[in-house]
Amino acid sequence: MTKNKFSLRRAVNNMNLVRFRFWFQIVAFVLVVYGGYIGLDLGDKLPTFACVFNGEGTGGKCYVGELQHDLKHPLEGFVGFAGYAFLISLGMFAVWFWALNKGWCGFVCPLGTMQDWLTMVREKTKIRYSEYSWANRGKIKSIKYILLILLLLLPVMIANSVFGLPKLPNGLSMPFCDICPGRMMIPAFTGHFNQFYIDFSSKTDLVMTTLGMIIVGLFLVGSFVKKRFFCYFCPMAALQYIFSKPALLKLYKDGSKCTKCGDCYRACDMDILEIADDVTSKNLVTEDCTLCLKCVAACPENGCLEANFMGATIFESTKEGFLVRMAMDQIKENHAH
Amino acid sequence: MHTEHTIETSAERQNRHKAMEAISVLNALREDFKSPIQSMGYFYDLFEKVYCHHHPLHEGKAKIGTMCIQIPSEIIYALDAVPIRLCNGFYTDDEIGGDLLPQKSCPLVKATVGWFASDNFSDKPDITFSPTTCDQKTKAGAIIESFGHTVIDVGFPRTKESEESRHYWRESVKSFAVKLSKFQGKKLTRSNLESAIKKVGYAQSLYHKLTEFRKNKAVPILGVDMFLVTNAFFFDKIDEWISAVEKLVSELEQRASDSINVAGKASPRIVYTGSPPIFPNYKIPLIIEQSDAIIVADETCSSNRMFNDMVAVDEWNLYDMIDSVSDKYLKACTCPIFTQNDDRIRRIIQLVRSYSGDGVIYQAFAGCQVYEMEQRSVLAAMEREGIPILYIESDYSPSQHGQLTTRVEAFIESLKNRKRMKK
Amino acid sequence: MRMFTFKLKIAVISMCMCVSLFAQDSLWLDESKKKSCCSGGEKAPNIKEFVIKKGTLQENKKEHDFKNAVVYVRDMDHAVSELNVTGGKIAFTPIHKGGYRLYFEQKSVQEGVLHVNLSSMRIHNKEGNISQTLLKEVRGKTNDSHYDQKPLAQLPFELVMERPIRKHHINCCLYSGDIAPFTVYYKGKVQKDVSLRVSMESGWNATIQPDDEGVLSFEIPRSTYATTEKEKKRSEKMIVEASYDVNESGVYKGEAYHGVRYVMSLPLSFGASPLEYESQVLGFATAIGVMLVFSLGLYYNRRRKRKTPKEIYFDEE
Repeated sequence: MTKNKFSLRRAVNNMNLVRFRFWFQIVAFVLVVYGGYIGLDLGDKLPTFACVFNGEGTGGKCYVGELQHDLKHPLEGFVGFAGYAFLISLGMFAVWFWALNKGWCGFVCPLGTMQDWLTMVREKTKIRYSEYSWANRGKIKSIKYILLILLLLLPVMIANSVFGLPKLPNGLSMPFCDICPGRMMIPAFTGHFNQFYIDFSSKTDLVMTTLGMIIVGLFLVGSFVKKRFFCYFCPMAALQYIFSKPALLKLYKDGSKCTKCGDCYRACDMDILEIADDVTSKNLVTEDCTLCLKCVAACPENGCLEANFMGATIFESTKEGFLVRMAMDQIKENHAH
Repeated sequence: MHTEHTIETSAERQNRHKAMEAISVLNALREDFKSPIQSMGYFYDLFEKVYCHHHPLHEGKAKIGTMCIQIPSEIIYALDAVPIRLCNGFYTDDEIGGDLLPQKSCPLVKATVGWFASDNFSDKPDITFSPTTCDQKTKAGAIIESFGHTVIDVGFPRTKESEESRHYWRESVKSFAVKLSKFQGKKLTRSNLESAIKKVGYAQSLYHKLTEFRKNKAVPILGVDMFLVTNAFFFDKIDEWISAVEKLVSELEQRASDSINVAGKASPRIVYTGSPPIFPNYKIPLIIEQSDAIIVADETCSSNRMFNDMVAVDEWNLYDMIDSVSDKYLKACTCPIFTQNDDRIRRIIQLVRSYSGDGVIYQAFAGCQVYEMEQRSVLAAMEREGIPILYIESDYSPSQHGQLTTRVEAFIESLKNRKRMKK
Repeated sequence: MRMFTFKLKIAVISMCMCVSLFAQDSLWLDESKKKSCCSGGEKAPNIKEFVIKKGTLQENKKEHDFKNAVVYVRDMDHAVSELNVTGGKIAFTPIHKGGYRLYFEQKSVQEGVLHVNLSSMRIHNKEGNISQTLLKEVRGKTNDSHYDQKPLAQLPFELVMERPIRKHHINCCLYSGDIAPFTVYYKGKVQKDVSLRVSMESGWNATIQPDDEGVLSFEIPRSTYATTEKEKKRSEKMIVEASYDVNESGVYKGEAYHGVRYVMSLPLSFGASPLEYESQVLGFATAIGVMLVFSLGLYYNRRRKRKTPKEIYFDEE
């Protein structure tokens, strides 16, 4: 038996994912939110909420912001440079995205990290988490697509008269940024609280900025009681999912090894039922998945769930890993009884 | 010399009969097989102590009777009590219970009811929790209660896919915990539940270690021995069980490196499923292993199903631990009482694949309706997968022994032929 | 980053003196409005044209004499190229999308003094050349070229704007109420004794003295209420200008001089402060109000659901 021999694969599979992710997220957060100060410039097509409004601190820029900006052109312009630039941006976004797939959400996104921090605080205060009922969970799935369509359509309708409708007011030029809690929360980490405001200059601005303030309030309380509260509604997740199939990082499931015990579902911050109940699909990166790999860490079956990068398994569920993570691999001293 | 003549009471007679049943199985285990395992001695002695000498194990502790695996032992241990699983395998008790239940009832339920009817325990439970799993167990609770015993029903859903079931069961477990903590006069706390979960989890992990050895080509432990080990968990002191199994694991490690095989080279590897073999009803497993086959894995609630799934907690706070405990007993369970049985079929196939089983033996107790009803779909699935399967109906009576042996031997012979053909 | 002393040294000099002084020297770059063109559907190449204005902002006169003038263009990657200014036109076709900075330099000898008139402005190009700009688009760019630029090596004297200090949320442009800091460089070194002249379209003029570190900063004054009330997002032009005299003699194009006078102007524009039409207090109040309502709602909802016996027998500790 090779039980006690050291192997890298075994060490990885036995890792404390919670701790690994905690530090990975901190590093990513620092790079994305403060990277600009050390000259980091990852471009403006990042598939994560690297907020433009963060000013000089940001180590890159969020593509959803860029996308809304790109679309605010007269349609004629799309025949020329603007069209090319749009396609190149979209292509570049996809290339960035393919590297990590939805892992951008679970490991990099600063807004996601913030929510995880709030969850940690809640856990420490021993306040129970909230859950959506399965029915509601199904209903809110479509919200992110509606937001995505709106954020694509509104900028186009500012620059053009679509179907003979009058052009929209300019206040809607970055409609999603107006209501995105990242706009308020991410600059706050570089000491800029000036994104908390209500704009009275026009009716549209008034409505959009007030909506933004309401949403940031909901975000703070919501993600305190519900894990990854905002991610259910994130149009970035919707946009990413469109490109998710050819991505390099994957979450694979071997349904024949699954006992449907539901441990993965329990661990899932996004309450994805398929992860436990789907025993036929191989690729389990669903629309709401953040590829946080908590399900892999919670799975007690050898090789049932795995994180796969370009065909190579990088982290897979093992019985031993499960036991180590649940601290069931040995009897700890100082028991209560 | 003056000899005193005493008339044997009915309890004494029962005990004598039970001791005979027990010792004959224990002797078979001790002596009938080659290369015996030393550390199994603890278990043989334990069963002898409890079932032949009626030696109580848990004096001074609150003993909580459980009618099925669904009563969370983690919560019982956390509240400083001992779970005693009341599933019974004695023909003596089965006969007593037979007078109280319909003739076609499940022998396991009859034996449990008979046990209470005779009120003859070495460790009598102070209170019993009865989950509403199968019909017969559900109804047995009320009968046992009529004997003056405290039985509390714990509502259990019969579908596991729906959200409602999940919530219902979580609430059931919570109210079970409240009732037990009232009974014990002790609070369920984060720390006592956490250490109970981890301790039971560790015990389960030891079982997983044992099963790993059974994947080897040379199987170092008998299936019947495994059943005995897991049966001991029904009533043994958990700490002693743990240290005994730790010793067993290290002995098996040695045996595995020495390639000691308790079976023959060509012995077919059997995956056992169906109604649970509970001591001393090891009739079928013994026939199998005495007929030159080896049980490498099982899918029964007295063994694999009890140990396979561990509690997985995401947030180590009381609220999440209780929910995790509840989910473990519902979501992971492959009991045939549930509406769907796909999970059970997939589990059997997976066991056959990972333990390189040659065939499946499916035993159903005569009267265990749910196992009898699932027989068809399991047989069909095995046929689809090309896995040979034998379906046997049996009960606790010793009378059918010859006929069962013939059927099992024939099946094993056909598996051997199949193996030879493959080569 | 340099720390600024926030003591603003604004000295408003009497109007008449100032205007006469400015009228002589001011010269600045301006982008000329593109003619909506196109004969027969052919697309116009992406040409940017510039003019030189002279006099005060109010006069806004065009200058046509480009004798001895040089124009440098620095792109977003700090590559510098020289522009042709023949034919009385400053025209330039940017290749990439993004920010460019233009530097205009004109030399002339008057009364034995070499006048070096300089002006610099930033332009943003929206339409790049697709075949040449592909790689740049693929990479994308985060950092902007608005402020904090290094002085141009080709110019001995330069006035550079640093990052403004602002209280509102908009990062890109200048607004009234922002503190705009400037630094003067001569041969790559910061000059700490040069003052700054500011003049605005609305007629506001000022001379700013440097602080101990040589930073020239002032708060952009608010325009009159009358105009901001009417149009909240209006913008206004301003010129900042610094001059520097050097005792140096030499010969320029056959004319001898015994002193050099550098004058550099930066044409800028600013809008009305967003703080005039937005409220941060209300923003915070809304967010906190929503948080309170939401969390109280959750609390009471949970309390309603919780049953009493559990509290007695469960203990989170």
